[in-house]
Amino acid sequence: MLAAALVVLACAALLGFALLTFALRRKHVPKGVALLHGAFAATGIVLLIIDWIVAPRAPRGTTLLFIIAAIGGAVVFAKDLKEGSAPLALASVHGLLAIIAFALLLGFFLTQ
Amino acid sequence: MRSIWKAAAQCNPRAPLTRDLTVDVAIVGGGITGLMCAHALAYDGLKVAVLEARRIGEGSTGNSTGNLYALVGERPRRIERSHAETVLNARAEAVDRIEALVRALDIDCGWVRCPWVVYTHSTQPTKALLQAEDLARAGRLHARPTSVPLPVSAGLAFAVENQAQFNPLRFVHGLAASLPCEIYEGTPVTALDDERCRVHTPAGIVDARYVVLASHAPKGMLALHGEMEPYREYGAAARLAREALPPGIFWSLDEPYRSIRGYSYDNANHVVVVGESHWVGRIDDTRVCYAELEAFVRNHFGTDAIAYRWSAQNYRAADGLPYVGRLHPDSRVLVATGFGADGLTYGAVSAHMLSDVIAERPNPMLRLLDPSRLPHARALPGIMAEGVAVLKQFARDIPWIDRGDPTSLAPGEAKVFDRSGEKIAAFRNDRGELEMVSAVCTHMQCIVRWNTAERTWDCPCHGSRFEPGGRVIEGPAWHDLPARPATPE
Repeated sequence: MLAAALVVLACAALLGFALLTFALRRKHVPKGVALLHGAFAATGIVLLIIDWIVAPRAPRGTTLLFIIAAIGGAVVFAKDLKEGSAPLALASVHGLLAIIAFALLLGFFLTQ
Repeated sequence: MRSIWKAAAQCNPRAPLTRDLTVDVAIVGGGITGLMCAHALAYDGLKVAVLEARRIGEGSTGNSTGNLYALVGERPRRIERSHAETVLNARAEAVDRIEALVRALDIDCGWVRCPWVVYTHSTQPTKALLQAEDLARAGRLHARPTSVPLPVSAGLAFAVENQAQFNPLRFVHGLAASLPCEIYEGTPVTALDDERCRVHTPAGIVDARYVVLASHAPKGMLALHGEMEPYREYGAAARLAREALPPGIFWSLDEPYRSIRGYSYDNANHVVVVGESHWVGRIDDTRVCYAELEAFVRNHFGTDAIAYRWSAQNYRAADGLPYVGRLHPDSRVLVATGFGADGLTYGAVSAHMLSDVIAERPNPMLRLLDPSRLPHARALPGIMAEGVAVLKQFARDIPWIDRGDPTSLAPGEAKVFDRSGEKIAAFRNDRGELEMVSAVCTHMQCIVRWNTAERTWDCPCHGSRFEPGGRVIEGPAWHDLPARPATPE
């Protein structure tokens, strides 16, 4: 379960980096990529939640961090739609949280 | 392309707004809704200014069918039967109010009372016919079986008497000429300050106690747009080499849906046919819509003399009822939208309702059509489908695909292509010049699509439309599509 979560979250991270490059250049953030990023991230979080439920030892703090990052991502998406450009500060915080969570998850997986 | 109503209605242009203004009510949109509302408010003694982006009546009013009727054609199945009598009464009263204005102001608009006839091709009652009959019954309208006096294949039909037809553009021109208020043409509203009740135009700011958004689709990003579907519908008028069609509004309820009426103008009798509706921006070649209408005219009325072609946009509410009233419960911004294809009559209904809001008069329709109302359960599938459809459009926005070379476009051709990850909408005009703008709609960032028949960029999400050069034509977008250089910077 964790391995699958790591793979889809890694895909989400790659797409997230791509989105950030558009946002940093103040270019239109492609919504197709944003939706795909969101879909991968949501799938990864669902897998982590399932792991939380079924596994005796699960990365629960990391899962919570991912959920907080996901809420931030949803706000970035909504603000981008409403205001025409992604809020850079919030997008950066969202990305940073996700990277930290991903690193923690990878560490947890490798030390299992 | 222009409608037969525009051909038959001439009016001197009015000056745009060039200064700041303070009024009691600023009305955005100079169609039937805005002008009838202005009329009611001006006669309540209020100072009113009408701001029209183009010319009076040039939007949906001047591109409509010119039919007025109590029953609704739009989604009769979705209208709660307990509301039918209230809604249909209000619509019948609105038709009476228009007639009273035509007579009081002596407006030469070809006003005629006539029957509203719906028919099916089948001799068996179809679902659509039964729904229309059921709604008429619930609204206590007398519907009688009838025959259809047109060269179309009609099986079953029923008629409701005492409906009406006119030239809608001549009506609004006549109404505008009589109004004791300021009317500005060529004055698009570029921003709205909801809190201060202030509208911005290119050359002046208007402060008001109330702002009425009578521009069909309210501007800006509103939850309402998630509850409405934008449709385009096409019209054609052909000269007949015979006597005029009998007065009447004739609707075929079977697919392909057609609305048929006659109109005499310029010493010729015409048949007017409307149909081929589709969600804005979601078909590949809109020229097919005109071709289908023209084939219908040719096959049934034996004429190729298509003299006028036009199209119009309408917004269909998920629960079948329009949204009329305050934008939010405490807002001084009022809206009237979601009329579907029943807009002329609903426009008159809305004008009356909005003037009642401002004059603080009770109106039983206000609660029913409240823009903040919770959607009825039977509207939820439609709202969800609309949401999914918008997401699908977002999913089309992938960079680095749609590669192409705009210089290969022939005159009259257009394409969305990718340049360095950015979607560009390119059109080569008849002079051979490339017009390039961002393909990202300024409303909610969907990617626009080319409308081949009308040569416009149309947004498939919420129906904003833009000229090839990017200027907003209609829809919820405030801002033009920004221009892009023909060569990368």
